[in-house]
Amino acid sequence: MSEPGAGARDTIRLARADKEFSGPGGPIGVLDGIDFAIRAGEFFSIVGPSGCGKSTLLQLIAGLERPTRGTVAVEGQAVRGPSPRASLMFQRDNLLEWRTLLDNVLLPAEISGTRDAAARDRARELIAQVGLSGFERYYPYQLSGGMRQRAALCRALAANRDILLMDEPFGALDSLSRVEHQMMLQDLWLRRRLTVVLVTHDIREAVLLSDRVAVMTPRPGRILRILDIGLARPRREEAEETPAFIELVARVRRDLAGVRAPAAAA
Amino acid sequence: MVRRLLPPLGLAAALLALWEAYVAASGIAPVILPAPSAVAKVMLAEAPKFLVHAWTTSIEVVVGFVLATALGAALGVVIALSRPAGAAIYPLIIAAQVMPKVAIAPLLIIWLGFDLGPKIALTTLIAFFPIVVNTVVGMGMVRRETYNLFLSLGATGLQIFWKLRVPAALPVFFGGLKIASTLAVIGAVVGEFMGANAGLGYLLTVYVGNAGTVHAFAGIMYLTILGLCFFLLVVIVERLIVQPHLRTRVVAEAAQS
Repeated sequence: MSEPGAGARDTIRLARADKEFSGPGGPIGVLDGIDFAIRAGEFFSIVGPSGCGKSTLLQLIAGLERPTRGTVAVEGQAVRGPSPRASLMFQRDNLLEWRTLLDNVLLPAEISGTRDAAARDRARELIAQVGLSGFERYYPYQLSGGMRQRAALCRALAANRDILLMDEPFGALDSLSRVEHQMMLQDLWLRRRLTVVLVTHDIREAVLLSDRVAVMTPRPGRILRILDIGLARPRREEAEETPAFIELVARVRRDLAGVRAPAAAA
Repeated sequence: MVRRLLPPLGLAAALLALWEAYVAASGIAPVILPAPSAVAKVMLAEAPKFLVHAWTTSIEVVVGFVLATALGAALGVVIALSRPAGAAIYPLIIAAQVMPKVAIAPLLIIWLGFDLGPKIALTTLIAFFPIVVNTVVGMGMVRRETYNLFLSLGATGLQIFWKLRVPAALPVFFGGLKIASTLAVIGAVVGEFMGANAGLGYLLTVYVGNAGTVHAFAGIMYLTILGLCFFLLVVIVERLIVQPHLRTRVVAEAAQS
């Protein structure tokens, strides 16, 4: 199977993007000279120590934050506001507690004014794809953490956008269901040819799912290295036992240990 | 429902029995402390008169409460959504709340006359504060991430308001309405104390002035029943609008943050 996204055009491009937030003692640099591109259809992960600005980086791509300097462009157009090309998913599912599962998944259609029978059919189909059929009329409080997260994934996919931005989407799940969700995400991605940008602190997850993994330094976050993964797809959990996988995980870990060491010495 | 009502009704009955026994055993003068049975007798025998006055008080309570809800919700929304407007309005609302409303009552009579006007105004003034506060708190219950999610879906300001802020605020808003519903009855009665010719509060001033203690107790009982009915009305509306899992969740969520 050919590597999805390989040789394809760039869809997300950040050029010398800096981000500063104002703090009590003047501006605090969060991101410093971020410069890379993500190809259409690529599965791209960003790993880094906590507080390195990886979530902020995702917000820049989503258009929820503006870079202090530099540019962020999606599909060749500078991002100046919430991007109509990307949907978002967070560690918290952020489901609306007063809506049923189906009504939560129909939220994007409702907001764009296209909540009709076709949207309902699509929503039901998505719900079936993540194994939640029969739970359409349940409220979020009646669902388990993993089910809620899958519902949030359905909602993100229901927006029908080509870019999916995920901020530690499985961080709150137990390790068994995390693997299950990672496999499900890979299957959905293989089927739909989305561009996925995944922010995570789970090195295994990044290597298992990604075409490329970007390693970030502590604040102000810089891209230290972008690693090609190049393992065959579809990858199953057993791939983690192969020497290639173990070596890739070790490389990312060494990179992260390397960027942590100077900070610890200081 | 019956199971929930049984303990409080049982306790009330026990307290009344104790009271009855004390009055009988001590031989205390009815003008100081009448027996509950005597109060009940008056409540039944003179029910038509009490109900006519209860009707007047009810109108004051309902109109005052509805005005307080409209005013409180509107101010709460403005404060929650506009930082400058909130910064200007909120301190004044606190000041208005700190100011003893009983002290303004005579002025209200000068401005609005002896009719229903000043009673409704006082009811509104007393009841609107918890509604404002709970509206502001409720509107603020929205998480940044959820708000961002709406933005990224391309939601308009109106969509964010109606599909996110309002439903998120409703459970807390109803908490404010329940507090306000009890304050509204107090407002109406205080208004009637200041000068009136109808209403249960007015009736109380007359009875107390003539040492009609039994009748005064009967009036207080009717006021209590009126207040309970009004509170229950708000609870019923809440149950129609707010789903059960949200009613209990608010407390837990507020405790977490």
